[in-house]
Parts: sequence; structure tokens; C-alpha cells
Amino acid sequence: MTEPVSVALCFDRHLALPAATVIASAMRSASRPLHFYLVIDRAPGLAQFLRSVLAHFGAGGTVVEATPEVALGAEHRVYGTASTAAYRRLYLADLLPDLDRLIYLDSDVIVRHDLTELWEQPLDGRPLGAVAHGWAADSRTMLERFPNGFFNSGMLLMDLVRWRNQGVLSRVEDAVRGAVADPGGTLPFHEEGPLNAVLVDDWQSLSPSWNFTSYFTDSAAATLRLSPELLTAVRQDPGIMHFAGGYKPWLPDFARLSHYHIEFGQLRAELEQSVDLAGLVWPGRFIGSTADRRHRRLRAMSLIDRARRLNLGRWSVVAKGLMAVDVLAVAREQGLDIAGVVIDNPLFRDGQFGDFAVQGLAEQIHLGCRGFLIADFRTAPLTAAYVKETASSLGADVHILV
Amino acid sequence: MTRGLLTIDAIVQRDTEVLSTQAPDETLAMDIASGTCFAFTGPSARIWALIETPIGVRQLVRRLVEEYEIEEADCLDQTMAYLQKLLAEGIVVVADFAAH
Repeated sequence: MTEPVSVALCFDRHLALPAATVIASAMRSASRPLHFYLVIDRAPGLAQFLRSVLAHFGAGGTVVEATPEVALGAEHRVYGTASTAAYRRLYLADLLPDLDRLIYLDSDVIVRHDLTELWEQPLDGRPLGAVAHGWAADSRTMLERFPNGFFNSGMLLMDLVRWRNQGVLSRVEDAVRGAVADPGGTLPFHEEGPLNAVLVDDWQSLSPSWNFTSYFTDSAAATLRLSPELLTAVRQDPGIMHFAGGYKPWLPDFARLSHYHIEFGQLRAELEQSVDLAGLVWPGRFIGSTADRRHRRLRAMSLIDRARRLNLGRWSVVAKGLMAVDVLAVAREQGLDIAGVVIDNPLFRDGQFGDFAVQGLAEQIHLGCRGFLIADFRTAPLTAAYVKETASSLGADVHILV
Repeated sequence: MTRGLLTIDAIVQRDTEVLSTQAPDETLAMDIASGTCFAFTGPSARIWALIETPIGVRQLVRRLVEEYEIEEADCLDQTMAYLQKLLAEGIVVVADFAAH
């Protein structure tokens, strides 16, 4: 009998439906049995719901109720709720002592290719295989801080034997405790920073196909020395699509942002039609602190107010992250005429952002738009400079509000 | 509308230089002149919504009594105290009938 591919997900109640969608997606293309290890918080009805999902999609599975990470004292605040589940992946080698190899997946992915191919990737004696983070490759700070590269921890191919033998857990625990004690220090990003710091040159780089995100821009790919041909091929058909960042496919504003978001919607519909959801609901917006959320909205108000006073006519919103949702909402409240949403990312070409079709910057300029609102919470000056440079190269005189 | 004295016969309204937005969990406001920001939830958000356009304090209290099913005297005391706070912040303007 063929040995199953072992796949683990770690989540709590509020990510149960996205996690169920991961299972549904992986079973579509599985050429050999998959056995899921669903490591969850204890919550009424959750284990039973997951068993019904596994049964419906014909997957093998074990539900493990365990939260060993709580002792770390670290907290991950997303979707408006405090959670420790992100740190749980660090404990998989201990929680599943009979396993030698494991694929870990975040709950905001869809699997599109047969996981057998990923399962069989050589790790060349390393405890971990992972995919370089496109976002980190686009960040000067991250390149300086992690000159050997920085992986995204949303997909991990784990050699559990080596993980145990090398004492990876205790080393990463120390790093997490250090990060908790020094929140302004050099190891942010929850468990991801500490993992990268500990396994600094001891991880096997895998094809971006196995953890593709919208952060694989052309410039990130160039930094990572990925050929344009490979990038195009992966962009068109990744093995695992990871909806990292704020544009989660279960949120109405982003349900049609790319054809992968639409694919997620089809899986979601199948799940909702075939399994009793047991009162579970889809998560809300991927948000950080209340202060960040308010800051985004207030900046949006200021932006729209200044745009109205300029009386320029129609404006385009240059979207980078969730602030664009706030800008569009405030524009609606204040009656500012919006021409469209600009995202210069090939992944979202022809997509839909809320009520607006996504267009490229050059396209909007060609269409005659001369006012651009920079809806970018963290890197607005860089985005504004990009808009200015592009407009200048097209010989267009534009107004940019940051 | 002038910046008058807050009495039960006064008419109140948001200062037009204050921007307001309805966020998913709360109402946020920003005084453009000072850059000061405010967050309103629950009854305070309701009061803020009702004073978007000029409204008499008596009418405002009547609306709140109906909506929250509370004693009129208590509602009047709390509403006046709250309006005084907003007035002190400079984000509400007041006129009494005598001013019209």
C-alpha cells in the first residue's frame, strides 16, 4: 500500500473554514493518499466539523487538540483576534513523534498541484525546505538583516528527524522568547523571523511554485535570481497559491481579485454546499492593532478631504494593502468620484477590487486620469515615487496625493 | 450658527471642519484644524450621527429616549454632559433660539 503524504495545518476556530478549503483543494489533485494532521485549539464542535470535512473529501486525517505554544507567551494578533496558533508549527516534530517527514501548510492557501511532487523534493541533509519570501526580496531592510535569504513559513517541507536531532525547537523557542522580550528588536514576524534566524543557512530553497504569493513581483524575482520565464510560468500555474497579506479571498472586496481568488470561491461554494458548517463563520479582515486600523481610516479621510478641495475631477486609487478599502469607503461617504483602482501586479491584472476593475498605472494614465491617491499605509513615499516616475516616462503631468 | 451657550433650548451641530467616517466597528472623526482624532461607539456614535445636521437638544434627547428606552431625566443629564465634552473639544457648535 502506498504510504500517504503527511500534511499538517495548525489553526484555531476562526480559521477553520479556510483550513477546510485547504483540504478540499489538496484532494483535487492528489495522486496518492493524503493524511492530514489538524492541530487545533479545543473548541466546541470544531473537531467534529473537521472530521466531517475529511470524510466528505475522502482524505485521511487525525485531529490533534494541542496548544503547546501557549507557554511561549507569544501572541499573534490577526483577524481582530488574539491567537497563538501561528507558533504551533514549531512543535510538530514533538507532537507527531512517529513521523519522519511532513508538509506544513498555512490555512490561507489553496493547493493546485499534486503534493506528491513536493513531498519528494530532496532536502540535501537540511531540516527544512521552504520558499524564499518575495516581499523580503523587495525590502532593503530585510536584505540587510537576512543577507542569506528569508523564507516564508506558510509552507514548510520538514525533515522531522533532522529537526529533532538538531534541537531546532529549543533554539527557535529561545529566539521567540528573545523577540517577545524585545518587541522592537531584529526578529519580528512572529515565528517566521525566529525560524529564519535559527536556520539561517540550513534550509533548502524550493521552487516558488510551492508557496507562490502576490509578493513575487518582477523586481523580487530578479533579486532572487528567478528567470522571467520561470516567474511567468509559476504565476500562471503555481502548485500552492498562498494568499499572504491582506487580500484574503474570503473577503467580499477581494473575491474576484485574481483567478486564484475566484478558484478559492469555487472551493468555498463546494464546501458550503456539501458540509454542515456547524455555526463556523469566515474570518474578517486581516488586521493588526486597533491603532493601525484607525490610522489607516484617518489617513484615508485626510486623503479624500484634500482631493475634494483640489476639485480635479476623477481620481484613481493606487492600492497597496488594505488602506485602499478605507480610501474607497471614505470616497463613497464624501462623494469623491473614483475612476478606478490601480495595482501594478500581473497577478491581479483583469481582477476586481471591490466595485472596481483593477487597471495598470500606465493604462489609467492613457485613459486620461491625472489624479492619483496613494493608498499605501507603510511605503507610501516609495509608491508615490513610482507613480511619478511612470507618469513622467509617459510624458503625463499628474497630481499625486499621499 | 454661532458658538453659543449649551442649554436645553440650544441647537447643536458638528463643526463643519470636522471630518467623520463610519468604520466597521466605530465612527471616527478628525478635526482638520488641530489634527485631533476621535472614536465613537455605542450611544456616543449615535449622538454624533444625530448632530450631523442641526438638531435641538430637546429633540436629540427625545430620540435617544425612544431608541434606548431610558429615563428622560437621566438621558438629558448624560447627553448634556457629553455635549459639553464635545463642545470643549471644539468639534460641536451651539446656537440658542435667541441667536436666530
